[in-house]
Amino acid sequence: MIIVITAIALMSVGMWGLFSLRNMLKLVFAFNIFETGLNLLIVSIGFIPGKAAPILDLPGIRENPLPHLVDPLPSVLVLTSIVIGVVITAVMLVFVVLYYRKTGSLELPDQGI
Amino acid sequence: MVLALFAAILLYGFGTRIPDTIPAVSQAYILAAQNEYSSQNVLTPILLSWRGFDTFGELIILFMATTAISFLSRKNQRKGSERKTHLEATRVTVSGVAVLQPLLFVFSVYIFSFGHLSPGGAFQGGVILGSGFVMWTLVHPNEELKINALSVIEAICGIAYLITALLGLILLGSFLDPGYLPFGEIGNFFSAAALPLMYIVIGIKVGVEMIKIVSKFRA
Repeated sequence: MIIVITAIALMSVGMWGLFSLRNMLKLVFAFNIFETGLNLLIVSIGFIPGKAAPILDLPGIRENPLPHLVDPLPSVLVLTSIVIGVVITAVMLVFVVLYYRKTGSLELPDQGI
Repeated sequence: MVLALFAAILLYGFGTRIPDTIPAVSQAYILAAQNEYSSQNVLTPILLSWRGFDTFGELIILFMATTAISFLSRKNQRKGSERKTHLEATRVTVSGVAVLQPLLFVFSVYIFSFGHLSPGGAFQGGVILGSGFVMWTLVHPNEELKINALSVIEAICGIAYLITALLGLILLGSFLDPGYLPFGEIGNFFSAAALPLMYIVIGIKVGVEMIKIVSKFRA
């Protein structure tokens, strides 16, 4: 429950940033915060209190794995989405750099978007 | 107001759910990872074999992004060569990086070659390799990197991953099936068939791509 609240708080902060900030670098940061919250939310779907990570290392877990482990599937999907997020951030930063070299400022213009 | 509504809907959707068992698909994955693949980390066969197409497309997205970044920052390099300044690293940076950088490289190799045994995997290891390169740029701020050699390594690793995936199609009849190598004992380093091989190849590829992305931002 605390994980869900934290994730939704992070997503709200990120969405507020995306809607209200005017600096492009801060927009990239806000997007990253939103994405972190989203990943945390997806991971929290598979989380069950009191159970271990899906790694079969202890002998007790290996004998009867099902009652001891959390759901591995959301973790795998988040693993993919984290990498995609890194790549998107890199491409966004390149666009920010190009915009700065062209106009000399990081602020979004007031009109014309 | 809109944000409060957004948060309330999400809280209602996710907060009221109290799970105590895992879905049947995940149960089947856990049992198959233990009995068929003998992989200690349950995530590894899901990521590389059953849902391997996701990883395949992910690598293609990484490659496309690296290509796009190289294309977009192509003009900047020409402009950047005119106003070249001489930078020097401080003594603290040089000593600290000399300690940390070998550790980071060894740690990244450990992370992606033990991905089928412990938490971690190719993408995490690759990113750690890239952070080791960031340390290298702190110490040598003026040196240029041989991008062409890196591209060759990246292409070789991409082709090697394609070959490891296609071997499953040729020998066993299904794409991304790692079962053409012996499965081994669960918990050993040589276990889980060809999954460690795929992880090592992907790890090197992701690491090289991270290095390329970071080096493009230096210009």
